[in-house]
Amino acid sequence: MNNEQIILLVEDSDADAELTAMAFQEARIGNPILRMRNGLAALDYLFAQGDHAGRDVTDMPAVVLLDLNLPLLPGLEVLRAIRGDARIRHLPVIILTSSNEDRDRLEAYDHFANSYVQKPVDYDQFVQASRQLGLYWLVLNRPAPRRDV
Amino acid sequence: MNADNANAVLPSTRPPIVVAEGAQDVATATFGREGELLLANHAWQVLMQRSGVGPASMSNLLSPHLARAWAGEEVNTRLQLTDRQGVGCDYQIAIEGLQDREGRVIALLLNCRVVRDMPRLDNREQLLQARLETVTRELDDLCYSISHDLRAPLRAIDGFSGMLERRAAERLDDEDKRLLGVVRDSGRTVCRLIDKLLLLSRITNQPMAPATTDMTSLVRDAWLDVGGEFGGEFEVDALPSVWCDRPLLKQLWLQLLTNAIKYQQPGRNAHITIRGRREASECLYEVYDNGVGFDPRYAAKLFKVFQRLHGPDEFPGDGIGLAIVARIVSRHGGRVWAQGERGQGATFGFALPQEALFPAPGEVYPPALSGH
Repeated sequence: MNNEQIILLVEDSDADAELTAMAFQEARIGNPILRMRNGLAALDYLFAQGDHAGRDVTDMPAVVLLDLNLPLLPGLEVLRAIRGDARIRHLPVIILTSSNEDRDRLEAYDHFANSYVQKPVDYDQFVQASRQLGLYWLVLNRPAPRRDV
Repeated sequence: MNADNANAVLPSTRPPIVVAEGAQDVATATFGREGELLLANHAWQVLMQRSGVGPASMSNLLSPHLARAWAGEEVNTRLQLTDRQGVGCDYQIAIEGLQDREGRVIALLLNCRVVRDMPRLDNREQLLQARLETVTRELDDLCYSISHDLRAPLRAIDGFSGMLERRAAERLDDEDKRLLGVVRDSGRTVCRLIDKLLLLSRITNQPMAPATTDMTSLVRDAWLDVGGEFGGEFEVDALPSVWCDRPLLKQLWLQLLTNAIKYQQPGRNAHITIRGRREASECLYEVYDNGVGFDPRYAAKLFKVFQRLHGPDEFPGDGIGLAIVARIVSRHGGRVWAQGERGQGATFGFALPQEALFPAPGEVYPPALSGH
């Protein structure tokens, strides 16, 4: 497991972002968490543009934790942009949201989300879920190799 | 539009200039970086007046799409607006970026065409029908935002008080910890209630797709979900098949079976039996249990939302399960009942009409709510 690779958290709520960071910390996941407050900022980071111009595009996060309700650009649009670009389309994207609505789940998988997780309201369950997510996506899962495009 | 034109027509001053030309049925507007309206034609003004949407809220409505267009994408989308009478109307919206000589997007051009016009409301009935459709859609949206937005602060309440509990563990005495526990439990209760109310709302509003359904297999299917830990005897007679929406009826059986399992009499060997029969023009189904029963004077209260006959210390619950049962049965044009005595077990029953009182699969029911 590469402890250096970042986890990209796209989350507009400060409280939720802090809780997620704490839950990952309690679950002993050491990877640094980089947080973006909206969909456009997330895409700027991933495509190394705007504030992140000059960043190495091939240096990808280990995983993206993506909220659905985001200002400026909704989560599904972020996901669509990721899947539409050959350089980053294999990036594991986990939808991490409050919603358990059928239409959200369906749309997320229609847009090729790797996984859909409803954020538990119970913090202890949230820590438990974070531990399982970390174990699966950062340890067990073998990501696609880098591809030069 | 090429770069020269764009530079020529973009004014730097406000308010917007209205250009009274171009296609009358296409509302056209140009937006600047801050979402401000730069330029609009007459049709756009008519649209604004008709929809009753102010420029600021219009720009809010469109902001995710405008953001995509600023990112260089050509956007095609649909938008629904409600007019001053509360009637909805659908628009097809196309947004493209206007570029300067260097290829930078400096403004956005938005074209808006009516797809489904506000109905011509010749009589009061049509107006009410159109309003009902709009209100139903709004209710749907409200439930959706509740499911998203109400959970986040609840998660914060539970998370941060849990965090405090852990960090301050050594400084807090038992009473302090109990108080924090009450905070966390209350947050979780609210969350459970939200989930149940959303379920109730979905059950009330989702379109039905009825078909002839094998009730015996449906009951066994539901039992697999909830009966796993039940230590008593469970028995299902051969039940008559009936014309119904299978997912809704599965939900109904889940609620009835969960109840029968929950209200067991301590120290008695629990027994649950499901029986069914055809009678006159109806199919009748009953769930018998030998649990704690209830005071028959309150039988009518059982099917109302949030009504409970037992305290949360006796049996946990929130008083929504039987309301869900009643709602599902009423959508099928049927009826529900409950019989019981304190300590003598309970019988919950429902009857559905044998003949279809509602449309075939594919059709939306009830027809008044066919706006989706």
